[in-house]
Amino acid sequence: MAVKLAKTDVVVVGMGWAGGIIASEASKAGLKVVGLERGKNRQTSDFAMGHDELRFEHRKELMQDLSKETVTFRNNPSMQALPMRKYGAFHLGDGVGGAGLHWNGCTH
Amino acid sequence: MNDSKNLPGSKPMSRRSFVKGFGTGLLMMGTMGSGMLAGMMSDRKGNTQAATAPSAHSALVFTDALMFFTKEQFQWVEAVTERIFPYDDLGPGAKALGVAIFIDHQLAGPWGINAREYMAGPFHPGSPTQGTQTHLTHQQIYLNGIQAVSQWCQNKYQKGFVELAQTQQDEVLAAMEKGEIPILKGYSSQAFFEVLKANTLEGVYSDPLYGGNRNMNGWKLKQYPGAQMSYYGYIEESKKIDLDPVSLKDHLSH
Repeated sequence: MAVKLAKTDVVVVGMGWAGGIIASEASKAGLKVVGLERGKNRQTSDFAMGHDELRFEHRKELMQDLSKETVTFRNNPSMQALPMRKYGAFHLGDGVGGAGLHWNGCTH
Repeated sequence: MNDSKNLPGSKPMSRRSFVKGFGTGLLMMGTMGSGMLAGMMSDRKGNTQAATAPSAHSALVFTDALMFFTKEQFQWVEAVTERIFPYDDLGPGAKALGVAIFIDHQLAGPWGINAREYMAGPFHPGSPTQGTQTHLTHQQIYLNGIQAVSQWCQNKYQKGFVELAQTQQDEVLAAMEKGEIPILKGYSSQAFFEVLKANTLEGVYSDPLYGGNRNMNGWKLKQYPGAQMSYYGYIEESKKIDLDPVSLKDHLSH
């Protein structure tokens, strides 16, 4: 059953760098903003073991679980589009903050 | 520390016994010595005591047991990873660093069954730019790969990989890397080699909590300070600072 929420001025889907700035600016302009995000609701305590390079950089803990949802892609129209089965260069983060949260796991 | 010197095909121990003892630890302690850093980390004291008390280092490692491989498969992985990351004068190799235990434990966990990867059909080969498209889990890749490469070694040398001379082992790995060893239709030995190589490096450099990087010796080899909580105390220093590595185990006590 779909839950019908109260009307609002702006809905931003994805609260990463781009969505976060848009939401912030729209709020400052006096609009009512709802931001949507998916993934685990992480607290500071979730990052106590944040220096674990295997878990975060190699096993992609802060990225979307591809077993649940992924994208298909092809490089030109003559190819067959296939699912991205594991992460390569393109990383789908989840959780509030987007790339501002996961930084692609580059700092250790 | 686990010693693996009795395995068939193991190499002469030139420097290994030295490295695998407490030499490295003591040397590191020596450079730390009177440094002002020692006092800044409470763990340092503990480490110093451990280094002077051999019993602490020779404590049994209860996690040195297999969850996935048979003993023969484990020895195969140990021998292969040792050729990918061999010991030399600079430090220990994959075997002494516990890489095969690391891989066994990884395969027994969610990574072994590709728990966070898209594994539903339909399956098509795809182009190299579309990444791996295999239906095989990491567990299946290892089991099929070990079996196929072992069979290939038997056919070519009438021996298993573990019994081969170093130069022959390197020939096998080169053939794997070139994709010359048939594994399964649609899965090449080159792909298996890439998995082995990636897992070897993970086992050498990931936190020792996963079973590899024994005594943080993989990090010490690169003078990597590990999972330092913060560099706040040193950030203003203009000189190079040599820090003893810290592992995630230290974070739990904070």
